[in-house]
Amino acid sequence: MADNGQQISDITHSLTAAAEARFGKERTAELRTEIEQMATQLSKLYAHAVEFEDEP
Amino acid sequence: MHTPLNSKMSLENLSLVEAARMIRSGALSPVDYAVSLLARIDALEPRVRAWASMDRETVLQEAAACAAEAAKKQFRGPLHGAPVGVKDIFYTRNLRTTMGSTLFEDFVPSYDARAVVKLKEAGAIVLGKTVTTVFAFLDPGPTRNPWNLNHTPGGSSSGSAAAVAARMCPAAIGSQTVGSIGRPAGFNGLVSLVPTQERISRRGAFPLAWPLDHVGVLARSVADAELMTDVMAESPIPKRQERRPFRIGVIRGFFYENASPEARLLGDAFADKLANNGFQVEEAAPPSVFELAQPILRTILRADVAAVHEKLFAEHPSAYGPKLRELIETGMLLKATDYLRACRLRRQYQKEMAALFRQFDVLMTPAARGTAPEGISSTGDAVMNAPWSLADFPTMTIPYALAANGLPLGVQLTAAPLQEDLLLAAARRIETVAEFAAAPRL
Repeated sequence: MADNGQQISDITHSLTAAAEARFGKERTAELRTEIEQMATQLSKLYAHAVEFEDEP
Repeated sequence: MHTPLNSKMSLENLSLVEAARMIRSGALSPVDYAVSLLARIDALEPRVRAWASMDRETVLQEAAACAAEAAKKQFRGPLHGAPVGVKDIFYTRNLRTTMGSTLFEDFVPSYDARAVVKLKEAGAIVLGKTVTTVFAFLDPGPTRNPWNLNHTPGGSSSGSAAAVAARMCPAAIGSQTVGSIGRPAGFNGLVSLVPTQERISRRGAFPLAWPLDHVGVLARSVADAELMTDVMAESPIPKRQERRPFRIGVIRGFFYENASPEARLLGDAFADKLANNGFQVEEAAPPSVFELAQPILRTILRADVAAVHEKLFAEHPSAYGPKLRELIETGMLLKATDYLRACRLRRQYQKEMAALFRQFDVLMTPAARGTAPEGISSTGDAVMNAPWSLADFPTMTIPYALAANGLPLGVQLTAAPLQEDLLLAAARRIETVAEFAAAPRL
């Protein structure tokens, strides 16, 4: 749910919208803490450069 | 063949290596051994609750067959007649396999998992299936810690750890995706070995997350863990005897920030003890990519768990515990590009972390934050084990001390990929320095 350089708030917003579409608003509210953690984790992945030298 | 009466008094305390040797020499009857362990289970199981399923008739039939073969000096393999526990995510032919879930409460596989096949080929007897947390994630089962029944044994290999610690069986197999063997080993005063993923086949083991799942062993000594691993390994582990001093890298930083004050204090004292006993002990510093361990692991874990459970979860959402349900649902929100980025970064992480072994033979960290937490509503935190499961580096837990609350503490040793021989060689010597001989009082 993230592109390079996206902020945590943008990722959270995007994940929340996807969750609401899939599980509804009530369940999404229950998942809020987990979604916020996930957004933080994804932002860290996208903030780090990926090396391609090992690619086959 | 009958076992002398005085030996029967403490058969449950035999190590796996001792029991296997005694059976081979004719000093121990596999039937007497099995009967003794079943009696131990009868006495303790109502309190410990380590077992999910057991077929006593088959156990005794197998023990009798092993005894008859042993009388003719015929042996199936190095574990001839030795009963072992099998975590309830490994398929066992004609023996119920539940994955800790009500969805599989009546499931009886038609074949054995590859690891179970290897154990049986070596002569082991499957004593029973040990309790797993639900689908080997965080939602706990009923098992209690034999050292203190008010505490968790850890998870997800809860029953395997508790059964071995309670002397219900000499060894058991478990699985680790994040910290499901190393952590319970620490909480139960056990030795564990989680080899590199490719060493032991995962065929017939219900997956949690394919790229991270490992098959491993819980035992009460390094020699027992080695024997179990040897018979299950798909590629032979060479025997290594090192005369030079082992170079141990102690990683404090992240691990000490997450450890209890007592675990830090006793961990430092143990590192000093090793240094005074011929080990070269130095501080090790992981590379900066270490900070990405948790984000990479959680992203891979979410996606893979969602993929494994997509269909079952859609059909039976109410059968899932809250922690696993949350993980599956958030995993469904990930994009393929997120997952692939995590996989690529994992490769980078593995490469950069492996560079630590240019300077050290093994790395040493706490096996868990501290002793087993009180209560059984949580199985504790896998934070100490996760970095190595992600790296797919082989790890061992060695118990080394009792904390003030009477519960054990363990250190976690880590070696480079496929260097189980070096890891075991170091562990053998570290075990002799630790001199951990305590046992739960049940």
